[in-house]
Amino acid sequence: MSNLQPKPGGRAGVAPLVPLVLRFLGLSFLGLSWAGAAQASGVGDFVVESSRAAKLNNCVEPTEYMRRYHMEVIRHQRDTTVYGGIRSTKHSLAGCVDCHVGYDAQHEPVAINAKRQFCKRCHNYAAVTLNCFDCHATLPEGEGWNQVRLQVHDKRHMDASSQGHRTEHAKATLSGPSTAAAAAPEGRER
Amino acid sequence: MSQDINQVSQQRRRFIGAAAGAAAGAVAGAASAAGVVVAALSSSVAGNAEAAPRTEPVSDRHRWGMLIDTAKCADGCTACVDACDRENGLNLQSEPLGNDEEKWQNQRPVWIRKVKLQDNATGVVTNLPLMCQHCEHPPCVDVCPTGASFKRADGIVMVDRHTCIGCRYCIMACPYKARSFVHEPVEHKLTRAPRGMGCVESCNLCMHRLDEGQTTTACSDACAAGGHHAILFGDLKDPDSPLRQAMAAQPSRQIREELELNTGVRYAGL
Repeated sequence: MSNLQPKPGGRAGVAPLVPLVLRFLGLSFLGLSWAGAAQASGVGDFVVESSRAAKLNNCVEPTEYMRRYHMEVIRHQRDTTVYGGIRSTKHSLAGCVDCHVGYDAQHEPVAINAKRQFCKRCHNYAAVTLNCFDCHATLPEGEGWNQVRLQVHDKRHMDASSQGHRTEHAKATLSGPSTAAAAAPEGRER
Repeated sequence: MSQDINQVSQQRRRFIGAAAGAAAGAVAGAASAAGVVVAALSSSVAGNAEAAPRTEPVSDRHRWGMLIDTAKCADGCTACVDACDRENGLNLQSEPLGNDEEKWQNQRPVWIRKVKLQDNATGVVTNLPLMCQHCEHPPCVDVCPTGASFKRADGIVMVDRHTCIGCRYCIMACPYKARSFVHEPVEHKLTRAPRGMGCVESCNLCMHRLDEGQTTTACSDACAAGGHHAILFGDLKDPDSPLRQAMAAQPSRQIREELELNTGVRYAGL
């Protein structure tokens, strides 16, 4: 460090660089202290206020467990679903999305992997790439295909059938799983 | 003699399969024995609860399949294709900007294709929907280097996208041109049908419906709603199922039956 201190007897050519170096060091120090502060207060504050999860005491497992092992849980459920055909709610990714998705001022769901949303914020913080949502839905599109929401689905399905045909993805998928498929032929008949 | 050459030897196929599976079999032996017990125990429970979501892993008590009556399949009707697109979110993917229209039409994922056949000798035209035939001996599973292409216990041939590396070997191996590759990022996905760039995909007999206890597919529903009733979906292993009864009532064929793949999708009137 001592050789970076300004030297009163330094040569004229070096002197203009010294303040620059100091300024750089100062900025680095500021940056480090900011990161330290974030670490102290940041972890665990990523649940979005407007999500259903914010109103619950803990996730499907104790919070500490989920923080460390959620990926194991999801991966286990993944193989159970793909190979065994069991789409249970408890550890399903659709359940994560359903509960953790935030809502904007118009009560419309915001994609869970969007900036400042639950998944993205923490994964950004931890610098871990998140690629679940290359394939998986980022919004609870009204079609959990799981035990809890099956009845809701059936109800919506019947309501939507009586309303008729809507194919556009945003609305069609919000209104129920097989709504689009089942309602379309009816639309054709009319 | 020539017939013998053209016949695919099931014994050869079995031998190769046994050689490849010998090492894995030793490891999995204990696990599969346990699996048999579980399946046997669960059969009575599952039998009553067909309408409820699945709580036990799929078993080989069912084998899902379809009978397609080509005489009822209407020329120009695409109800099944459209319903499939909506059910699995294929219609949510739009043509990438700046893409060549012809290229897009050639490459966009399609799970059901409407095929029109004409017998040049007689001029008879036959229409049929062609999708994954859900073979008992699927060539796509044989060639998959990662095991991503697999046959579920209930006979559904599908892709585990988590392990698919997008090599497209299965597309080459499939005699029915049933598989598609997703070339572009998928912005809008459905919860029931995850799909994304870099994976191969094909008809999975609406397994999300089966897993929830329904025994219909989007294509058969749409065909029936259109008044055609050309597609009948059901359980090939249940002798009393409407599917088996329809199969017993009329002759049906497999496409490329000389390959002896024992397809789960059969065609009548072909």
